[in-house]
Amino acid sequence: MTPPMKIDERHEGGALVLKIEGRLDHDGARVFEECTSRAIAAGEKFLVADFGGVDFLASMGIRALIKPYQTLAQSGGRLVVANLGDSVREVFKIAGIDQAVPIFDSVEAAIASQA
Amino acid sequence: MSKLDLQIENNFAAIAPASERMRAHLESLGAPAAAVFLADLVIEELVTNTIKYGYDDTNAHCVHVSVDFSDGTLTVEVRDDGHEFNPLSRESPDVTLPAEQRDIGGLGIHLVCQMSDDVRYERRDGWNVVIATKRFPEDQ
Repeated sequence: MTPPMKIDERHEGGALVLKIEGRLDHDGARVFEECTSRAIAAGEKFLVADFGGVDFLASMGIRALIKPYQTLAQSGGRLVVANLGDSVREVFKIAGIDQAVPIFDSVEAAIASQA
Repeated sequence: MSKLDLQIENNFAAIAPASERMRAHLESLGAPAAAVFLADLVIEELVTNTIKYGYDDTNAHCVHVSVDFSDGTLTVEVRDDGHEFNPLSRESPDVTLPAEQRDIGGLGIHLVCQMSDDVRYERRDGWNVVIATKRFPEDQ
C-alpha cells in the first residue's frame, strides 16, 4: 500500500518550508489544506511548498494550493512552490498556475526570493 | 496481457488501491513514467467526479476502469452507470485568470483532455464511457 502523503514542516530563513512527500490527490489535498490552514492561523506569512517528493498532482491538489495562496495574498503574505518534477510541472502549466503562483527550482532560491 | 480491468466501488477510499494496482501493472509493462502519471490522473479525476456527482441514489455502484499499454500507446477507459453525463460538454475553466479569481470547476477534465492525445465520450447501453488515449514515442 502506498503510504499516505506526509508533510514535514521546518522554519528556514523566515519561511515555513513544507516538504511534501507522496501524492497530492483527493486525500493528499485534504492533508495539505489542513496543514496550510493551521500554519496561516498560527501567523505564518511566507510558505514554501517543496514539491520535490510529490509524484502525483491532481486538480484537487491545485485547489488545495490556490486556497492558501489566495488567503496569504490578501493579507500581505506569500505562498511559493519549489522543486517541481516534469509531470507535476506540466499540470501546473496546463492549469495556468505557473502564471500565478511563483515557482522556483530549489527551496533555497524560493527563500532567497523573499529577501 | 497488456490490459488490466479494475472495478472501483463508489467511495473515495477505493480509488487509491485501484490506482496502485494500475501503477504496478503499467510499470511491469515498462510504460514510461509520464504514461503512468496520465493513467493515474484519468482515474483520479474521472472516478472522483463520478463518485461526487454521478449517482442519483445512495446505492453501491462500481466504476469500471480498463488500462492498456501496448505499442507505445496508453488507453484508459472509464465506465460508470450513473446518470447520463458527458464531461467533455463542460466549458473549460479560464486558466488565464489571476489565481485570486480562479474557480477550479472543470479543471480535472481540462487536465485530462490537455494531457491526452484524444478523449472521447459515448453513452453505451446505459453507461457513460470515457476513453482517453495518448501515444508515447519510444525516445521519450
